[in-house]
Amino acid sequence: MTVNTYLSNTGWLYRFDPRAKIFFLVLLLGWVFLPVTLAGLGCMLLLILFTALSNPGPRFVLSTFTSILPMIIFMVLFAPFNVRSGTALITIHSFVLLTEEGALQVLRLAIRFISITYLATLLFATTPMPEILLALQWYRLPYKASLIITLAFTYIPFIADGFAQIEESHRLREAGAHLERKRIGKIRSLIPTLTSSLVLALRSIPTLALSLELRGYGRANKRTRYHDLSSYRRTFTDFLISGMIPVISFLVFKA
Amino acid sequence: MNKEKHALKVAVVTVLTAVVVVFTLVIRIPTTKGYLNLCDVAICFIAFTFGPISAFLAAGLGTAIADLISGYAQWAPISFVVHGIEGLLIALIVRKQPLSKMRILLAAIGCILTVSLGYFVLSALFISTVAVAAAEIPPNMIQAGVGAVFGFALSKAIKRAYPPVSALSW
Amino acid sequence: MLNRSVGYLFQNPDLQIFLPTVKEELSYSLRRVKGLSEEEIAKKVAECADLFELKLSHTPSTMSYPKRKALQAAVYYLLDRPFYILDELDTALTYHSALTMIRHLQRNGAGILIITHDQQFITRTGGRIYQIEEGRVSER
Repeated sequence: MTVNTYLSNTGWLYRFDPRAKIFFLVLLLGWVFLPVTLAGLGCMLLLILFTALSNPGPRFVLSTFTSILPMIIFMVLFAPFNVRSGTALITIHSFVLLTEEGALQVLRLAIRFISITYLATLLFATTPMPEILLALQWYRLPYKASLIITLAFTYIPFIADGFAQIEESHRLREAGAHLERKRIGKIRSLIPTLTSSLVLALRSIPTLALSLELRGYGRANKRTRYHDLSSYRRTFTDFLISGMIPVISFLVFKA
Repeated sequence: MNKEKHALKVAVVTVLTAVVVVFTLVIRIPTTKGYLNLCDVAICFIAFTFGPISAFLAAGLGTAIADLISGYAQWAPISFVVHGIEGLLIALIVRKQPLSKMRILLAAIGCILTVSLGYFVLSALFISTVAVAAAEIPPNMIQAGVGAVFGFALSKAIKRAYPPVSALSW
Repeated sequence: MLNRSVGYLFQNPDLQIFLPTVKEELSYSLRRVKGLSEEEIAKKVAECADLFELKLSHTPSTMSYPKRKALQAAVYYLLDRPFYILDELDTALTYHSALTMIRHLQRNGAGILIITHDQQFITRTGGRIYQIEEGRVSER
């Protein structure tokens, strides 16, 4: 199974300092919740989409959109439940289905939702995970947490494959037993598979601990680092941009 | 557990986090409503077998990472908070041995409430609307309930099938 | 169909072990077969454990590797399949243990396919020898 969140490509966002990117992301995530005009929200979304198109690319934009399409449809369908007061837009036999205010609110919430989706996904699509973790450590994320996340990513395929093999081997063992009703059988056969998978996973813990200790984890001496973020040269400028764009656009579009 | 056992503690949380991710993404049981994922089974198993901090970290980080990997990064912070608290709460409830039936029931109820209410409140505030978030409550409750039952069963099974697990819990 | 006639012993015995005691592990598959009473199951399980030198009360996950391998073979012995594939059986086992296991599994005339890298081991087992070289199967 792929655990990769990074989509390799070129573009200005890829060259943006990850620390500034995170700063930018947080500010923009807050921005979309501020009292800005609907037109302003729309412009921001267009800018975000344009950035997504010119950095990870159109396929990314499309796949992200299809993943949130069900939610958007739901939001539209449930719109009648939101705002019931105001001028009516759609009525069925004198029952007010949708008001103007309701429609505007749905539009605002939908744009907001789409924006935060692309914002969050863009960060991970344009920054390799190790650099995201380095950036978070610059923001004082404890080294332990970063280590856990990095190692967890390497263990995920191992455990997933273990599960697949175990499922297979249990099926081979079970073959010949009287056939059970399809769905109940599947669920019943899940417990042995899950138990074996968990035992397999738990058994790897002492080995992992040993290898960590052998590589010097937990000792008192100061740790040294091989990778860092010094390849990003325009850090100050990036931070400046990250700060200015939200502030300026808020002043322009505030309601 | 010893205060010096840093490497072992990190190893435990690492593997448990990976377990949560795999249970969330790889295993899907088809039901009438679509798919049921087993993240709550994993979280309850961890909460019943390990301590509060491991449960909090593994559950929070695991579900957040699962969201990132499956392309739903916008849910990651919410999943971290909701499932992290779920793991923490259940582990705290069942921490004191011996385990009474009352406590197990309390843990199950806590699990169901945390997941359904947590997602409802945070989704309504930050993601979508009150109505849409409310529609998610029943499936969340079912998933959490199933999770509590199977998680507890798995915990008992593992403690018998692999006794060294008690030395790993912190 | 194929699932029912072939017993595949994976290289990693831990892929199938999940119960707390050897006794439960061995009884598990027998229980799924209709028409065996509890006493019959217990008798078969005890016989099998003796044959493979396993203690019924031990916990599989804490047994040593050779014993877990023996448990895996014992489980398949009880399943009594007509054909067995043994994947790298001789890794981390003495020749004696491996050969004994093969003999046990053969008792009802079952066919055995052994996968191994060990040339010495091959000379000790009878039967036809095939080798795969650069993707081609040939008989030796």
